[in-house]
Amino acid sequence: MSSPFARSALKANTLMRAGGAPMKKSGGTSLNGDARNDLIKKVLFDAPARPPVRLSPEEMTRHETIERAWKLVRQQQKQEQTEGLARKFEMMRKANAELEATSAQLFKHSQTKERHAVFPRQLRTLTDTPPKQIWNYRQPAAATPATKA
Amino acid sequence: MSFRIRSLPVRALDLGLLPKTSPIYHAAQQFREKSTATAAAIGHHSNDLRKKQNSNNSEVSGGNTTLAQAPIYTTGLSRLREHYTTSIQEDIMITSYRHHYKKKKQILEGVKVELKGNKHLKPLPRASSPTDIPELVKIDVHCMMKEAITSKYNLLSGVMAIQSITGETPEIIFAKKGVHNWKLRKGMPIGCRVTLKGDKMYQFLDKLVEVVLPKMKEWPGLPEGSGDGTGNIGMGFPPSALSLFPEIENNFDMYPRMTGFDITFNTTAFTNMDARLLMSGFNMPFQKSNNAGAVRKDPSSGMAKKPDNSAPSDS
Repeated sequence: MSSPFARSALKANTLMRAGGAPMKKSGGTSLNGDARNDLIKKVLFDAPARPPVRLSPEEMTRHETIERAWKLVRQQQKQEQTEGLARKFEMMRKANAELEATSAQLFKHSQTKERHAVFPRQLRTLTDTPPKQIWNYRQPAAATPATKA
Repeated sequence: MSFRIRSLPVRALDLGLLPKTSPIYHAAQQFREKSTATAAAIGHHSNDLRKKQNSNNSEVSGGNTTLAQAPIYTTGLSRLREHYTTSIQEDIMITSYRHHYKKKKQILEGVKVELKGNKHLKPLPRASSPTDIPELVKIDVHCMMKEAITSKYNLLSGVMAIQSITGETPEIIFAKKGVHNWKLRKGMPIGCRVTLKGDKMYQFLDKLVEVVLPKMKEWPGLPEGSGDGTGNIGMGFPPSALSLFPEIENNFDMYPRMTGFDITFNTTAFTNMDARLLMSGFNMPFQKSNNAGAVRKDPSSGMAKKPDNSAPSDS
């Protein structure tokens, strides 16, 4: 909502309201003299369309080459990823089959799933820089932090 | 936090985010002059103003072509997608692995099956496979405003709020049936909804989990048993939660009405357990009950087992 159009329109409206100017009726969108609805309606539905980005043929080939190169990179990454997952899955399947052949009781235990198994709350998603304290070894695992910083 | 800004210079020019001293600004200005000159010459106007953000189709006119809008995958890194693929995907694959697949009765196509009560048919879970790992597919943000019954322009505030939060223009939902007690007539605009996929979805989830949820007052987390049975999780927000989003916090006064909304996480998981595991991997907090030796359910044999530490926990 911070486009120059919206900002200038809002400024105009606030100045008018501050100056005590009477609000002009505009089809009922301004309820109880509230001109914000007008503004929102303009921004959502009446805002001028952006001019389409036009490219010359050589620029278009350049753009397409870049797009294809990026798609290729993503495709290669995805292929690596799926191959890795398939390998790991196969190892796990073999291990499970072996366990089943070895001991029925242990196998049953291994297939039991905790219903409310979740990742620990201390799990940190990727960030650009590491935190000040990477891992608190003294705090027991059961204690959950109150809020994140 | 790393919310990436799209790197197309023309777009940045519109947003006014580039400093005027940067060389990119001048290059973009020249580029824009060229493109507006050709646009003015041809006189192109997009008809559907409502969906203008997604409507630029590529067309060939003369030698020039128009670009389609940016797709779901941008060149910048999506933090939570990277987190999923590098950190939690393999663990989810291992934890949700079931060696034996319980094959249920196949229901033939065209055969109408009626269940007792309000139950409905659920999709059959598939056997575990490396390609079938629970993944977040889309997020639905939906807002219904009762005030829109008295005046449909009340809905504008909700639409604007959801657009600011998510970055996509929501579609307006019209009532399918009338309810006399609430003075609702069929066809009245009553709510709005937007579906987020790909990068936008991960960005929104990032905002939720890092900024909004920690600031919510006395919110203990999602219920322990949440889930709809087919691997989707829904949650609702009160109107006060809307003011916690950074986009709305900055210009709070521009929104006439604060409204609550609800969010549905659609995943490719088949059970509630898998869905919860997936969402907790994105730091979505779930409530924990106090009994340590809780009875656990074994999906393959259906009997209560004595507790054992089979669930792997990792950092």
